[in-house]
This record gives sequence, structure tokens and C-alpha cells, in this order.
Amino acid sequence: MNPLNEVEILLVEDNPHDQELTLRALKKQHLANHIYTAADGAEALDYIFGKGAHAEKPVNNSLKVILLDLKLPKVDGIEVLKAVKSDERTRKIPVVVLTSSKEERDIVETYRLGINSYIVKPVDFEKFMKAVADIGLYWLLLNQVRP
Amino acid sequence: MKRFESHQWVSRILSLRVVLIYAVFGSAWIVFSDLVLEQFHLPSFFQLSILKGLSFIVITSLLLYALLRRDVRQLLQAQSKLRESETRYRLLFDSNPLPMWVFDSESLRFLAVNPAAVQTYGYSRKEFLSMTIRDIRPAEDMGKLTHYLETTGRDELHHSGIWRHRKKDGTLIQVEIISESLEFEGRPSRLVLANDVTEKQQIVRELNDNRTQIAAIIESAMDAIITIDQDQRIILFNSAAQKMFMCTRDEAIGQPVERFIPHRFRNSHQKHINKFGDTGVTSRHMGALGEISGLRTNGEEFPIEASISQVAISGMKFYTVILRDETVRKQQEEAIRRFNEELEQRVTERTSELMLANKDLESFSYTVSHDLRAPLRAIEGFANILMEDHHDHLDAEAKRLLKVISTNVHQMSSLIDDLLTFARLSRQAIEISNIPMYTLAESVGFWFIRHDPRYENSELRIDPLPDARGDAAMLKQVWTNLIGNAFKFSRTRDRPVVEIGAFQRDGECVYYVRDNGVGFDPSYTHKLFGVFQRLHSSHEFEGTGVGLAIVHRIIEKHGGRVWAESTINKNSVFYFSLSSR
Repeated sequence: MNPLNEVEILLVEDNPHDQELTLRALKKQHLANHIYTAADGAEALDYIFGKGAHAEKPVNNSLKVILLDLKLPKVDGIEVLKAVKSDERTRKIPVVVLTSSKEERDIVETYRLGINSYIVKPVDFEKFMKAVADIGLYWLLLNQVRP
Repeated sequence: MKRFESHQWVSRILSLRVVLIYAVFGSAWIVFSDLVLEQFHLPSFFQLSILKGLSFIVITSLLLYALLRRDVRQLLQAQSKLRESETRYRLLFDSNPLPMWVFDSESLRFLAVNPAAVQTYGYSRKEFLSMTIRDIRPAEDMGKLTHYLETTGRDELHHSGIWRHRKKDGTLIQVEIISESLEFEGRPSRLVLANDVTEKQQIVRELNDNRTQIAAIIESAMDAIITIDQDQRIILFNSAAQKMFMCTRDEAIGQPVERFIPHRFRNSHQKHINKFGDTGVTSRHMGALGEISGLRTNGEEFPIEASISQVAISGMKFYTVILRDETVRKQQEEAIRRFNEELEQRVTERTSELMLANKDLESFSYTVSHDLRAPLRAIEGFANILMEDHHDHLDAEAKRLLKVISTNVHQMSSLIDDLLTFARLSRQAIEISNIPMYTLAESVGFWFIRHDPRYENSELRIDPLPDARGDAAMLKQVWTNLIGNAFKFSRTRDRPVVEIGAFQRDGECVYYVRDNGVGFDPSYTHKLFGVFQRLHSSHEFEGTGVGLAIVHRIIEKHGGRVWAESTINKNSVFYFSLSSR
């Protein structure tokens, strides 16, 4: 855990209820203090690349994982993913797609763009909680980012 | 007759000449000899008279000898000439290769026949001489013969045309008869020359038949047939040509063919014909250099297809053109082309409509999968949070109500999943590969037993299954839905059994899944495979009513069949076959 409360998880999610459910799951694993939530793709890009409202900050390459919804207002998840994966500074940040649909073309396209995992958000509460908790634990506590 | 009379005259004149000379000389002698003797006054008159008499005998004898000798010599010469010519003519008769005979003009008896006649007719000379010319003719020609003999003059060379004669063996032959009257052995007769023309007649008849046939073909041909001579004047114009060009044959014959060619083509047509004439090619298709047209007498131009042939007869060239009116075909072609165009246009429109609809459907299901699930997740999630965070404040009824909410959320979630699967199937192409059906059915079957505690007591029996050709993901879906149903509807039994097997029937492999569950009312079989059709309440057995519709759609895509049998409260069997592609 980072003692400086540095943000380690970027959650890109426009649905406030899904945000809340996700955060609840992460809280249970005591991971909630290190989360920044972006409500659309544009905000996510600003946060990652230090632009717009986040212009005072440098490019954020210390994120341990980006939880990315695909269907987003303004800039959709695929665009965000392309931007992250095509920039040398952010390429190494693991991206987990966390979405409602298992559209085959989305799965194929996002894996092609270099995501690390594709998770369909379960409707079932228990399963949802477990899925999010697993992602948090894996990427923050167990996974070693590529040097 | 003439010759007969002249002979008598010649002998009469010759004899009269001798007698006349003798009479004149004898009379002169009698008158003048006594006068001469009296002038001399000779003594012995009696002796002198004897001498005179003897002298008369001697001189007249000499005279007669001289006269007769000359005539007899002439006669003999004439006779020998006659004999020579007779022999020559006899030879002409006897060795003539054509049958000849002489018959009596009155009795019609044969008087002489030549060897060629004997050979041709098969009668011997003797037989011929005992017959009349009636005997070598068929009975039905007698009237004609009689009429002919009565009306034809007897004294001239006569070509009497073609007659039918019967040979001794009964065969009829056609002979061309030339006859001439003559006197034969003192009787008025006719010399006949009979030329066997049976074969020739046959050939002529065949030629005529051929000609008639060809004329009939030309007349009845659907195509216009026109023959022109080397001056391009029409010499043959068949019925079809009359109809095509709206011109009668009488009007067309002798006219220049140009009349039926549109003005602008006339020059080039002339050149083409001449060029074709020079090639020596016997026939060829016209219009290789572009479409050609004809001109009707009413001024209408029309498209034609034509071929031309040439033939040279006695140094003259004739061209025959066979023409087909292409107006109707062109119209049909045009109609077909237009129709095709329209069809293509329509197909393009429909395709783009369909593609649009497909795209709509795709974005629809995309939206459904995203946006319908999110609220469900929220309902489920917050109901559960309520349960977790406020557990102590909730009474039993409140907890039951939260459970009802959760159950319905799950039901709707499954429904969305199934509908999306079903919708995706419509636009998904199948990828055929070899499918190990046993492995597939086994893994699906045991997955249910391992993952669903309700099926702990269920027994699963799997017979060996032959491999199949099909889409792996889709067939897995089929097994999942059928086996899942079997477990579901049999789980209320004491000893639930699910059996999977296969058998061959009518050359195809039929797979089946049997359970000893609650079954269904067979009278609703037709509703089984429809979307949203359920034969059981969701109170008894959860479900969306889409599972069997998905199975049906997949099997349909594989060109196979799916059907079911059941005895209510006893068992049900679901069968499916795949096309043998």
C-alpha cells in the first residue's frame, strides 16, 4: 500500500450506481483510498495525461491499473484505450476492461489494442463483488508491473 | 406401200422398153427388107428370102442380147446392192443394244424381234413371234394402247412417249418408244425401238420428289429465304420473306434486293456481297461487323440476323440469304435486361435496407446488453446493500420482498442473455469443423452436475456418440440447452436420469437427450421451439422460453432437424440431426 495515498487505481465509469458498487467492493478490500474516478473518457484522458482540469499534474504513469468501462460519454473506452496504449509513457499501465456486454467485436478489438483483462460485470451482486475484489487484489497486490 | 408400187413400175417399164425396141426394129425390117430386095432384081428370090429371114433372126438376137444383157446387169447390180444394204440393216437390227421389233400393223403380231428384246423381256424369239404387242403390256394400259393405235398416223416416224411393259417374269419396266412404219414381208408393219428408262424415270422421280421436298421446306421455313443472282436480282422469295418484308412474291421476283435494305446500308451491303463472292467461302454468318437491319415495304426498319451462302451454276453466281426477324428477340432481350436491372436495383436496395436493419439490430443489441444490464445490476446491488447494511432493521417480510426483487432481477438478466444469444445467431455465420460430439456432450453434462447443487442426485448416462460436422460454439450451445433442460425438468424426481445417445436413421445420425422428468403435453409440441414459448410456469421451473428457440435456430442453420416426444409425467426425448454436409 502506498503511504502517500497516491492514486493507484483509475476507475473510468459513467454510471454512478456502478461506481458506487465498484467502490464498495474495493473498500471491502481496503483499496478505496487509492482510487480516482472519472465519469467519462475525456476526463480520464485529462487525468492520465495531465491536461484540462488536471493540467497542473504531470503525466500519470504510476497508476497500477485502469478499470475501464467501454460505453462512455464524450470519448468512449476504446478511444481512451488507444490513447493510453499508443503513448510510450502510459503504455505499461495495465488496463482491465470492466463492461456490461460481452460483444465479441469489443473483446477482440480491446485485446488487439493490448488490454490485460476483459471482465463482464455480473448482474448478480455476490459475483460482482467477488469479481471486482479479485481484480483489485490481483493488480494491486500481486502483479508486478513490467519494468 | 410406196416402195412396193415403184418396184412394179420399174419392171413394167424395163420390159416395155425391150418389147418396144423389138417391135420397132421387126416392123422396120419387114417393111424395108422386101423393098431393098426388089431394087436389086435378084434371080433367086426364094434363097434370098431365106437369107433375109436368117439375117433377121441373127440381128434381132444380137439386139435382144445387147438390150437384155444391159438390163439384167443393172438388175443384178441393183439386187446385190439391195442385199448388201439389207444385211447392213439386219445387222443394225440384230446387234442393236436397244430392244427392237417389228409388228404387224393390223394383227399387232410380232413379226421380228432382235436379241436385245429377247434379253430385256425374257421371252424367247419363238415366244415373241407367237404373241401380239398387247401381251407385253399390263391389262390396265389396254385402253390407252387401243386409243393410241386408232389415233396415230401410220406412216411417220413417231415418238410415242413412255409406256409400261411387262417382262416375262412379271416385272414392269418403263420404256420410251420410237416407231416407224414400214413394209415387212409384204405387210404394213411398224418397226419399234424400245428404250428401257425405268432407272432413269426412278431418278427423275426422286429428283422431282427432292425438288418438291426442298420447295416445301423453303416455303414452310420460319426464316425468310431469298436467292439473288449475280446482278442482285431476286429469283427466290419464300413465304416467310413475304411476311417479313410485307411484299408478295410476284412483286419481289426480279427486283433488286436493295429494295429490302435500309438506304444507309446499301453501299456497304453491295461491297460485302462482292467481297463475299470473291472469297469463295460457301457460306457464312452476316453482321459480324455490327448489327444489320432489313427494310419492310411500309418503311419500317427491323433488326435481322442473317447468313449467306453462294453457289456457282454454269459460271453464274447465286447468293442465298437466310434471314431471321430479330425484332421480338431484341424486345425480349431488352425486357430481360430491363428486368434484370430492376431486379439488381431492388436487390441493392433490399440489401442496403437489410444491412441497415442489421446494423440497427446490432446497435440495438449492443445497447440492450449495456444499458439494460446496468439498471438490473443497480437494483440487485442496492437490494443486497440494503440487506447487508440494514439487516437488523428489516423484518422477515421486508427480507422476503428483497428476495423477490433479486429473483426477478436474475430472471430478467437470463432473459437478456438468452435474447442476445438468439439475436446474435441470426447474423452469425457458421464455421464448420469436425466436432467430437461425445467429448462435447460429456463436458457440458458434467459441468451441470458439478456447478449446480440441485443436480447432485441426477444420474448422467452417455452412450458413444459419432463425431459431427458443425460449428463448435453453436453445437455446444445446443447440448447446453438440451442437457440443461433435461436436468431441470427431471430434478424433482426421486432418481433423476438423463441419457444421451445417438442412432442412425435414413442415412443420417440422430442425437438425443432423454430424461425421466415431468415431460410436456404432446399437443403443445408445435409451440416448443417458438421464442418465449413456455409449457411450464416459472414458478415450477425457472426459464426464459428462449432456450429451445436457440436450439431450433442453430439446427436450422446446420440444415438439420430437431423434434421432441414426451409422455407427460414420465419422460421427454429431444432429438436432433445435422445435415450430412
